[in-house]
Amino acid sequence: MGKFRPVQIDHSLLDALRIGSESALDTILKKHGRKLLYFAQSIVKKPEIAEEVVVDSMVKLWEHRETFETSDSVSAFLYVVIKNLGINYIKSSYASREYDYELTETLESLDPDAYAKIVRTELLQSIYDEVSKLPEKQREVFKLTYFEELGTEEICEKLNMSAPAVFTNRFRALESLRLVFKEKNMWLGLVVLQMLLSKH
Amino acid sequence: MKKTDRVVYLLRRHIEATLTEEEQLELDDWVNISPEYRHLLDTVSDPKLLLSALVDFEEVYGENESGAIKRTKRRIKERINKASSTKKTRLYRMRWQQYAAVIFLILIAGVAVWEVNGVRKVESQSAVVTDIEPGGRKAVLTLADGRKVTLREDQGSILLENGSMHYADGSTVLADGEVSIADTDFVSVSVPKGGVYQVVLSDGTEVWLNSSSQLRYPARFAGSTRAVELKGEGYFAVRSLNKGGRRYPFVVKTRQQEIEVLGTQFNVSAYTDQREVVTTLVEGSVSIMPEYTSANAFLLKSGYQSAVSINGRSIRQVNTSQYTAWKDDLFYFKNTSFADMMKQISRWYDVDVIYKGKVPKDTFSGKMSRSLSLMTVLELLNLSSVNVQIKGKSVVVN
Repeated sequence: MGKFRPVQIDHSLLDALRIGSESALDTILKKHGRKLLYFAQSIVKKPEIAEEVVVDSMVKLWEHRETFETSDSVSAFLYVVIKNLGINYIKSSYASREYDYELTETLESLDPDAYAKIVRTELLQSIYDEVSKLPEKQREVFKLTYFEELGTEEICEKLNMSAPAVFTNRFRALESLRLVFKEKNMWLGLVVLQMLLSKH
Repeated sequence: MKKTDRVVYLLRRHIEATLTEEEQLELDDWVNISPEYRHLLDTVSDPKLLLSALVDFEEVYGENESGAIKRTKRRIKERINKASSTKKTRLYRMRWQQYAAVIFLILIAGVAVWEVNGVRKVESQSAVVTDIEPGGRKAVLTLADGRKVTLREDQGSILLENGSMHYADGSTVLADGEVSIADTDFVSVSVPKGGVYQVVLSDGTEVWLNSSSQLRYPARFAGSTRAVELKGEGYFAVRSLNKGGRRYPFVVKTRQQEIEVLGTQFNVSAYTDQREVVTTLVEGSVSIMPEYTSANAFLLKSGYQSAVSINGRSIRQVNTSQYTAWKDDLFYFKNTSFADMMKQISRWYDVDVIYKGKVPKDTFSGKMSRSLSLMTVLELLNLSSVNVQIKGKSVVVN
């Protein structure tokens, strides 16, 4: 105790996972959870089974945690596992949870149907990421202005903001939306608005 | 995933109608591989279908999103811990030949059970602990009239141009109608604990501000020198400025010293909780004027580091990337003392560090991502037999 001891550390999220950090697993779930669940649902349809499949895939990831070199390989692994578990479920009411995972299986070797679902999931994730970049306050002001058709004064009161702050946030939200989605694609703007609405 | 990322990129460009001719061909080739891919392209091309897919994606967790996420987490934890405890019990399974040693084994098992229970207690305690997320791009801009503006976290860099403050993506910091900033105004950017932000000055000089730091600077540099004031830590990439054959030096004032440069890159760490102001030269050279009495200005060259205190100064050769890693989102330790390491962690995760006993004397070397959660970082540190725990907004070192 108390002796001088040099300690070597070298840690990324994957290093943390490799040495068995459960919070690293939490971080991975936080990052990928939505798309994994969406992908699982696109295969098994039933939400509660999809959740089961995602849980299983994360457990498999944990069991194989020492084998990952890149975060890309983590994502690919989870997709492949979910696809296999999902197909198992459809074929046999999920009797064979303990299938043998082949580490040689890659995204490229998947059938086109499954792969198209993965591409679709990744595409939605990329659009979702962009929309969620709008800060909370902007989303709020925007929503109240354009959907609840409140006047500035009412918004000030509701959000406990000064009038300039309400103007600022409204202006910024519009500006960000304009920047994100080009004028050509007005409908994509509609997508964003729909999401703004469903946000709260 | 690289190939997948590429296809996603092409599809997005297709949706936004911004594909180049070459990209169009590339997408056509992919689509022609299989009817499923063709079908995917068709569905994402229909705004209504894409809209409903996005709404499904958004609402995938159902009504109670946070509840669903918590449940998923809990179920994963249960399964993982069940798996590891079955392994443990296998260890204690004995064969009949070991009958003779049975009493001894019972003793061992007794100790083992006692230990396992002890471990369980610790685990269930830490399960209640909430993890702390890493810092992000946080800063507050203070205008000359005292008005404060919280800077956007989805940005990360601001620049001042012709009296108007912009983010890196071109959007304005102040809304139209708010007063613009006069050339003679001084503004300041304060980065709290758990934050980092970049500021581009009117001369093009870039400054990265670390957590618990503040930069005060004029909207436009006037006169023969460009002077700014720094508290805390900053990385400077100074543009050299020559006008009409004259060179305009750049001056960074901190506690205990002033740095004067022409054009160079350096890191200066002047936190009040450290005795010395540490300047690390990455490129070029700087002249440093210490504040202590009888001090002369001295020159610092690239690859060297100076430490100035109220009593004197020292210079040594260093690996500079260790001292600038924070701006690239890394902790970089090299024989760093435990206390110094915890200071960095405390600033980035916005936590207090409480020592229950003596400060460990171990030194740490290596790199660690600054995007890990605090729990992950502490788990990594616990491995090297230092016992640290999260309690509320504090880190307790046992």
